[in-house]
Amino acid sequence: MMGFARLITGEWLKLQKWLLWILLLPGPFLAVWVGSQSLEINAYETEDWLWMYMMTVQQYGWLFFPVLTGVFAALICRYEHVGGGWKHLLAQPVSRTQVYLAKAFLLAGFAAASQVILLIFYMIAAWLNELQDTVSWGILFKSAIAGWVAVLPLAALQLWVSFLWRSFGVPLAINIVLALPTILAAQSKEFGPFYPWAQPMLAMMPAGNGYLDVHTETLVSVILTGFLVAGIGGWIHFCRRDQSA
Amino acid sequence: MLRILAAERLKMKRTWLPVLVLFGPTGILLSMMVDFGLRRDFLLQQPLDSWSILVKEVSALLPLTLLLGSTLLASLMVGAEHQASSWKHLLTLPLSRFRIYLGKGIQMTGWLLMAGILMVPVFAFLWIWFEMGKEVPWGSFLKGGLYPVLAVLPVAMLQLWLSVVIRNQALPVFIGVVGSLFNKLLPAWMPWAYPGNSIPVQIAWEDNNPAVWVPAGVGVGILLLILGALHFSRREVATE
Repeated sequence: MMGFARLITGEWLKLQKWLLWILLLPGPFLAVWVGSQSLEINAYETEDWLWMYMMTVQQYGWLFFPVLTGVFAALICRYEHVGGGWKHLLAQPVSRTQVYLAKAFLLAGFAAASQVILLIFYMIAAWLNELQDTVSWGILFKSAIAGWVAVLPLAALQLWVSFLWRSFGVPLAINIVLALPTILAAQSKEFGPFYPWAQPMLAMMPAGNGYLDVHTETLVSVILTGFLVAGIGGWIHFCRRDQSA
Repeated sequence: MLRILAAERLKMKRTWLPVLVLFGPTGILLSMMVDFGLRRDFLLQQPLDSWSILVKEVSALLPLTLLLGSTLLASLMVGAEHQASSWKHLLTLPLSRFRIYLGKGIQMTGWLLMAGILMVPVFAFLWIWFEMGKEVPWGSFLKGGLYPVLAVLPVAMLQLWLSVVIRNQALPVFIGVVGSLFNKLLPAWMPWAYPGNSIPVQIAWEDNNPAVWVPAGVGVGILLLILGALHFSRREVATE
């Protein structure tokens, strides 16, 4: 267990911290900004705070959050790819499972950090618009956690793709290319829940607003299956693969 | 100069670039097949001519695809040089750095133009498949494909420069993604807004004016390419 904690610390040390902030802050900020701008066009009978949150989520969850997770996945594997670090890392007396888990934990942590930052920016915006008393925090927290859970299958998949390709651009390209059809997928009731890139947004949209009421059970089972497939697949592949680079 | 271009082409032969360039138009074609397949009658009811309806639907995806595509193209083209540490090899050759950079920019423009030309068969296929009219307006198709491409050049050249200057490709790609995703929020004079405002039909949304933004795209694109090349030719390339 101590070894595992040290592995995570090691992974953390390898990262450039200033880069993390640059990656984490602009997206949530812009999304919340858009959300607060669209308060003026709240034409429906939706409460202001909820409208603002929905517009924020639409900007944030739709493409940005899934793509950001992919960027982090690529970043976590970059150090090993660039310096030929895989053979050094895997020659250490640690199991490959532990290395994989350390990277996965860190990735999940970054996704969670992005959600926290989104909530903080949203709170500031709510306060600036004097909506803080009307906000239902329970819904917000539930939505943020659901979005985090929904991005985990995608994170596992991205981690898999990222250690597979030495090139940095390829995993990102795959991620972005597959994220684009979300525009269409997220509008379809039948197909949307099954498209991994659409899941974070669907999970984050507060239910019952006529946007797209996906059954929670459907979403949960699809997300769970996706997570198991991508997680176990990536893990086994990582353990068995010949790390020549 | 021609030999630099030929060498660049050779380097890209077994990479993902051609796949990516094919992927954009194909993805748009498939998305539009679904879109028009599901609601053709509803879409064609609008009080517009068929071409305007088609290009309006396509423009929900095309500018964004081009912006993200330029980001990825730049990163894939340059990332290989970073990763193989081949800058120092390339730059010890008796070639002017200015031209090496120019070669990259011209090649990138070539890939983008190819994607734009590939939009012509995409438009034609949709036009014929969904029976939008008797005569096929090839000229409009070509404009519909090439205008947004010409307007995306400034962003493409900016991404090229960022990808060359910053070794860690996470940052240029991230900047490109944020700029692309939030392109509709930016004021019209910002390069990220050009492609979305270069749709070659009269659409009732403000700022759409190809007569301004296509020439602006070409002009600013060339300017940024030259500035990038100047910077590159003076810069010491840190190699590992």
